[in-house]
Amino acid sequence: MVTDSIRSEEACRVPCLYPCSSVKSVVNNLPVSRWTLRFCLLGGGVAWLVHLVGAWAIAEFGILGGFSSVHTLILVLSAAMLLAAGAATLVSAHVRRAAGAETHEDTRTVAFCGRLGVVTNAVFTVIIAAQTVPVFYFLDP
Amino acid sequence: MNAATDPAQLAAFDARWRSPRGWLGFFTEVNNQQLGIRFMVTSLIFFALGGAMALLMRIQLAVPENDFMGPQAYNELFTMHGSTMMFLFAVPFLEGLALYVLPLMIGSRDVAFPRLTAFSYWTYLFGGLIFFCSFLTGTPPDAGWFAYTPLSGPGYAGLGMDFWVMGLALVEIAGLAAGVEIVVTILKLRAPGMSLRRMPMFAWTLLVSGAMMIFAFSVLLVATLLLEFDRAAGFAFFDPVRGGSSLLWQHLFWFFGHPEVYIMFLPATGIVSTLVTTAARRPLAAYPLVAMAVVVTGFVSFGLWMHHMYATGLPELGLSFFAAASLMIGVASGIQIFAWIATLWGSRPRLTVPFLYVLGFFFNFVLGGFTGVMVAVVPFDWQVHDTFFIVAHFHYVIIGGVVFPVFAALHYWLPKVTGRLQNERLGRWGFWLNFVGFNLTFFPMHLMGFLGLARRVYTYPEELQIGGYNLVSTIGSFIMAAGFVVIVIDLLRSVRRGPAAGDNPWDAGTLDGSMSSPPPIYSFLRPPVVRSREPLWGPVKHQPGEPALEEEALSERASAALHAAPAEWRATLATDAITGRPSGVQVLAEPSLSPLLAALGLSLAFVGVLLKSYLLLPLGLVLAVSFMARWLYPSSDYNRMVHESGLAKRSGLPVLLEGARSCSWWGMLCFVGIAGSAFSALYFCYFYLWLFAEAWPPPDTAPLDPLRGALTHAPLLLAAVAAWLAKRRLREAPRGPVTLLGVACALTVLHLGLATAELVALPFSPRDHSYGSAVFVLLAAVLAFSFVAALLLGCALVRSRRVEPWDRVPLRLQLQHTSMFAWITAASAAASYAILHLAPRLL
Repeated sequence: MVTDSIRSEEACRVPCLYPCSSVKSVVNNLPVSRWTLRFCLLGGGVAWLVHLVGAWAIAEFGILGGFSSVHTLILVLSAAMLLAAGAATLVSAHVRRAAGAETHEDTRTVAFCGRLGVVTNAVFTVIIAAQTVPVFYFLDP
Repeated sequence: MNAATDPAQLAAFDARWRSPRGWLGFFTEVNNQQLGIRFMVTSLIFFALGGAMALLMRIQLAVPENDFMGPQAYNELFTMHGSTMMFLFAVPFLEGLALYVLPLMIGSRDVAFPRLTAFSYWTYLFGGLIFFCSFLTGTPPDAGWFAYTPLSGPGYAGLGMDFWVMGLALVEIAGLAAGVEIVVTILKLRAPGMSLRRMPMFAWTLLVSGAMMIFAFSVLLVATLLLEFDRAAGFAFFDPVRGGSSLLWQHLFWFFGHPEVYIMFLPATGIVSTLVTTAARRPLAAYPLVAMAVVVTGFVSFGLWMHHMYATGLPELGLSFFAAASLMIGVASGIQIFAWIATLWGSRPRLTVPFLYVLGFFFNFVLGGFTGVMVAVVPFDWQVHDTFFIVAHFHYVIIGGVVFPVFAALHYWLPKVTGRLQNERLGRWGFWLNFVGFNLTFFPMHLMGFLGLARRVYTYPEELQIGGYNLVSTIGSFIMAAGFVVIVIDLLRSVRRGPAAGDNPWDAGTLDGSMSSPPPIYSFLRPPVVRSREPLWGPVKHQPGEPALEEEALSERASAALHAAPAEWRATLATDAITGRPSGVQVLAEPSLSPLLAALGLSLAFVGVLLKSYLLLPLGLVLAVSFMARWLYPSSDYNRMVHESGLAKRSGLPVLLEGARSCSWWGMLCFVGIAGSAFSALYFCYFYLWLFAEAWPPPDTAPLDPLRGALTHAPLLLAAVAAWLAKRRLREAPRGPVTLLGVACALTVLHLGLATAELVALPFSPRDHSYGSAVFVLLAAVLAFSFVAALLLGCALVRSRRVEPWDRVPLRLQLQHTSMFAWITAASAAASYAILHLAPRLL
């Protein structure tokens, strides 16, 4: 939608402080894309939420439904979500680096998001790992 | 911040922002300050009522085998007390505080959707009144604030429970509206320069809390509506005899219930962060870590619902995940506590009354947090489950962690609201009475819980030897009540006789300190440009050697253009959600009766269900939809006035916004979140009931016809594609989308007809078995969405037939919304089809 509004004819006709090319720069003059920023801020949290709800659903529905591969499924899910949260941490570190010298408020904000993402995603990676530990306990007959 | 300007211009500007005088003004009010005060005052009245009920319960428990009241009255009181405090006091008060303080703090003139705020207030008020009307019928609800089924089902609970369900549903709608309001205001209406990293911590906490409201309240709304379906129409969601499940209610309720605690707690931590920073006169330590803790808490709080259900016999493997999550959330809270200590460390904080409450919060909340970690451990929870230990724990968390910061906020921001300072001595008396009274009331409950006193039981035998503890607890509760009375006296006294507060009585660093006390109705005559996290303390200009920032010059120009302008319509600056750069001039709504009438219509519909008067239900819904349409329908004349105002030229910013620049686009995105979580809750119900059913569909049930289902729902998918193409077509020609919109509209109407026929011709009754109930409700939900999509498409079709130049951008925005809604509807239809027709064949 952002791109839609940039391309729009009327947006260019408006006597705008940011003429068409710089409207784009207002929205996109960040060292990383907005999707990267969103992944950096929310990736670990979403991975954790998917892990928790998924692992619970597999445990609840799988055990009561008599499914035999409950533990394997949970471990696969845990590994996938650990990877996702880890990837979000690495992407956040990249965002932090990409912000560079932080001479500009926009790049400072991106650097802040990067720092925030590194810590948040690292915490979620640890939580996912901690929540996977009981699975090994329950693997023991 | 409000520099002098031409008196005539100022008078015109002031007149534009004032509501009409008298009753009309009262009912049409949409200003954030007035509505914020109404929210706070109303919620404090409910707080007093809830507190009075608590005192009655404490009198009953003061001595063993007391006959002050019977078990039924006790059940009713603890139900009404809990429900009032959780739904009618804590969250609405914080919503009111956010409405009042947030725009002042982030440099906006108002909130994003003023009429939605008014609708939220009226819905909340009517919901609360319906709630309390149960006393008039002599049958208050008695199934607890959590309303566990089957106790709250039609077999056990009377009319009072219907009051509870319907009142609560209205309050949830109010909460959802407030959540959307808060999130969009913070994301879009921050002052220029207020990037994410410069946002006050209070705004961070409200942002996360608002997002949580969107996801949590929608699930509770679904749960309460399903309960009412069971109660009023004989459906079987929660009736185990007919394939339903009582545990399903607990899952749905606690999926809302636990985040609810954090929805209250997070803004409270925002208040504490603000007050600690002001008291220490230094920026908050570890700001990024605190922001991280707030975000983590928001996420993790959605993964704790099961720890309320440890004793329900769930698989231990599942419990272990939730125990781990319950322990982890302590880490996030701990980070905030350490950050506050680090901020205060070495400073010389002034021991003002608000700060005393913050210190009280530290003591009480840390104690409540410790017991929270204890009950997160499954075996420990099994020992103390449903005892007074749990009562002590959650009161330490909620009173210690939320009510103390709320009292701190009252003392801190009341001078801003009234322009008068409160009495320091009375304030201290109020604090100490509350602090001592609170600990006397609730600390002994830990011990009573260990000694075996069960909660929700109206009396106890003398042999238990806990009469002394209970007496102390009762005395403490009256001391606390006295503390509240002192606060109220101080408050009322200060409004009449308090000394003038001045603009910034606490020397705060946030933008609210730059306003006069009380602030003007429009808050900021000239939108401020922010250059640091504490704008009133930080550098107001560039530091020597710092490169000149291009965007500051641009922000200054935009801000100057909005100085006491526009005078013909209400507007504020819209900024980018991440960087805080100005992105447009956001038009704000004028006073209107429509929000009140829409809320009345909705309440009428709910009362119709309550009274089983099924004529009132459609009448109320028609009224509500009509007035909502009236309030949302754009006026071409208004667009023309905005378009021709010249403000775009002066400010250098577009004044008619679309896409991600516009607040309403973000509001629509929030609605997608609400619809998504509501449908997810319905799908969860379907699979959960299936899990416990012996056979799904039950034997002797005629199967659904997949071909018919596909033919019924296919038009919706085609309509969504047509609406999307219409949106694209508008770029090429102003009248381009008419045909495509006509096609989309016709397809949606076709779906309405086919889906209604499918619903009517279902080969089973929704009353016979939970399968029938689940299928019926899923199809009905898609039908309801389809109905709204048809209305939106029809409205867009009418508007697109005649497009003036100034209507193009608003029409494009409307088509963006319509297209987004059509996609949501098509997606929900496709998912429902897959679940109802394909899943039983594949699984």
